[in-house]
Amino acid sequence: MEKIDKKIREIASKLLKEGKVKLIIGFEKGTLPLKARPTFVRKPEEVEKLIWSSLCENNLAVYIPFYRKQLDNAEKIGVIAKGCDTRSLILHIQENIAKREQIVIIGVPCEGMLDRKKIEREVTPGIITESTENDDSITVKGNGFEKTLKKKDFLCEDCIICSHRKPIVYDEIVDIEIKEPEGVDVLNKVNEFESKEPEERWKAFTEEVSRCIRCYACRNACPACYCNECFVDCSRPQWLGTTVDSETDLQLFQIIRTFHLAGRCVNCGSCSRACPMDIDISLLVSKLSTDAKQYFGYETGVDIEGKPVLNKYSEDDSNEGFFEER
Amino acid sequence: MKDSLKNVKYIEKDKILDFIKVLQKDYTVIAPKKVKDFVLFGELKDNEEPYLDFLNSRQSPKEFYFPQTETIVEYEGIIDKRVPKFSENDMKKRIIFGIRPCDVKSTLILDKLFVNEDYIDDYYKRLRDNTLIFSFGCNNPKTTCFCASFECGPFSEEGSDAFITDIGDKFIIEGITEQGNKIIDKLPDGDGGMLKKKKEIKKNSDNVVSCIENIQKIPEKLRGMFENPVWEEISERCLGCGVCTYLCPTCHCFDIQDEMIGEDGRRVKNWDSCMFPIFTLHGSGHQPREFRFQRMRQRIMHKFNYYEENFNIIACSGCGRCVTECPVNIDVREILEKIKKL
Amino acid sequence: MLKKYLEFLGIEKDRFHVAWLSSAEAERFVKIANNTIESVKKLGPAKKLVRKNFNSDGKRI
Repeated sequence: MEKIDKKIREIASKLLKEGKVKLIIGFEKGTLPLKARPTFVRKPEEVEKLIWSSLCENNLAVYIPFYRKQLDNAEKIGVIAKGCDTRSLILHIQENIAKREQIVIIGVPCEGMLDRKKIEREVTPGIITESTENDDSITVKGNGFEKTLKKKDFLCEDCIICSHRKPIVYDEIVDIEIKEPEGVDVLNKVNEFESKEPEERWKAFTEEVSRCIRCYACRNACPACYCNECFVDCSRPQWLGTTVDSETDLQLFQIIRTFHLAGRCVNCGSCSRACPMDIDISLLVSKLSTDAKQYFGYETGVDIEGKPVLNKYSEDDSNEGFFEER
Repeated sequence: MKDSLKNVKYIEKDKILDFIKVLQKDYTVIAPKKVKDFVLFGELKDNEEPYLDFLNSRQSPKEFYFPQTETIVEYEGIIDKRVPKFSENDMKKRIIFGIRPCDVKSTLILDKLFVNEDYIDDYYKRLRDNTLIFSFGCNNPKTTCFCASFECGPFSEEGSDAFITDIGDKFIIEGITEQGNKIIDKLPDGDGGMLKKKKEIKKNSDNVVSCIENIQKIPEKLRGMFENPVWEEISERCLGCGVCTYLCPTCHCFDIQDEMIGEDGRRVKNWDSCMFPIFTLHGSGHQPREFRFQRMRQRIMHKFNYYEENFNIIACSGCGRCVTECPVNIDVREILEKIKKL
Repeated sequence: MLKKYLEFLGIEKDRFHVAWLSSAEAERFVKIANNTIESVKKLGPAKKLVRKNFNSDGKRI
């Protein structure tokens, strides 16, 4: 890990010194054990705070739309990016949020991020006060216990099924060898849910979203959710009721928001991780991504020359689901 | 010594359901319940046991006196169909069982806003007056707990009707108010040994829980800080979601909306969050808090300065929910330390 | 994709229909419309994703 930290700092410092970027978005150590958090570096002497670990769970592409003014002024922004971050950045570029040359991508191959909540559950009732990371394990310490856990058993759900861990595009790269996982069963969770009866699915879905408190953390943590005015905030017309005692409005919020991500979601899992009520939003968006792949052979953000799947039409497109003559 | 024991009762852990059943005869019991892998407060159904092996609930129980959605009036056309008139006995009394001291403290903080000399919020007051508080000492404060900073603490009894302590095989329940004492009267009397155990646990918790020193100086310090560039630095990583405010036990901003179906409608009060841009968006399109730093400044200023100016108390009880659940780890403790140093 | 998605969530398969047709295809339009009406009628009134009225406590049912 220290080798990667050093390399990231070297690259960041070089880019800032040479004036190639004004800002670098990366990670620093968080204030909680098992937490790294986004950080913003503008001066070469600040690069020392940049780190890399298996706790860098946020998708940093989410910040790009905040800097639209700077991007309009032709400023360049550096982003330290894992596979999923680069896919989201490609989406931003395809959707004209930024130009390719304005985003300086510092790619870091990723071996999957750890799920803090899974680890905390494992050591319950212990309370973790510190953690140290090794190549394939993590040691957590707390009030009278110490445990070494295998990283691969505590990955975030979406990292387990990730098939693009290496940065897709990059300007600088931290050159480390990682293996793209083989035989990943992306469809597993979706298929399992699909094999249930419709009524059972509806029940599971409604139970899950009934916990929603409309804090919109899923929306704000999502790199693809960057509308100036979100449909839930519109008041003229008001598309959606604002209460939490109307189950229908909660369901509609989740359905509509996730559907807006059809063919745009990179399955980084930020929504599920951000949700304070642990709603399994990943399952919903996974369905949309697997369908995009099944019907259109499309994966979001893996081809910088490509266009988002729902923005293009081809005569060969699947007619699945359309009215058929009988 | 004997006198003080009059109010100390105990209950074996495996008898807790029996006690809840007794309470449920006269009261609705709201207690911690396990949901997936975390804990939320909710009404206990028949034969449902409270889940008391928890650190704190994910969401604060403020929704029981300040519901996230609350109908204030219903109407048909222009005729009021139902303007609530609150009488003393129009709702079943409730007990919040197992609420943590920080959340009790927060309730006391909210009381100052909703029930004061100038204004009484009838909706809040009704729910509050009909609720008894059985608070629950924290044997294992989390690393993010900083309640000791606010004249509170893991075993603070302020505001409770009765106080529960887990001493291993039993819970001891101490009556604090007359009403609390009356309810626990039938339980067996505790003894000095139990109190001694409690004292030890309390001492340990008090040692563990963290404290931000000199927090009382923060409000004064913030007074001249409106234009300080530090807000931009603090808020740069903020995503602008409502996790911090919606999980917070003292955040109390709301929005009033009308909902219509045909001619019928209702007016509802919904929680709102200063972290959302739409919170301050004017009808004209003018946006006085255009940037994230302005919204972050509002959140901190409101809690640690404006509220203190108005009600002589800081609107934070140190529960740490905003710290643990923020998707990008914005830590209010760190912000306060930073402000202190400026 | 929306049709598949709604099905995935447990909405009845025949509740939602999508068709491609041009303004010149009047006959086909009638056919599709009739077909849609027929299949939705078979299902009866929708129970899912319907905004309900308030109950006497002013809460949504």
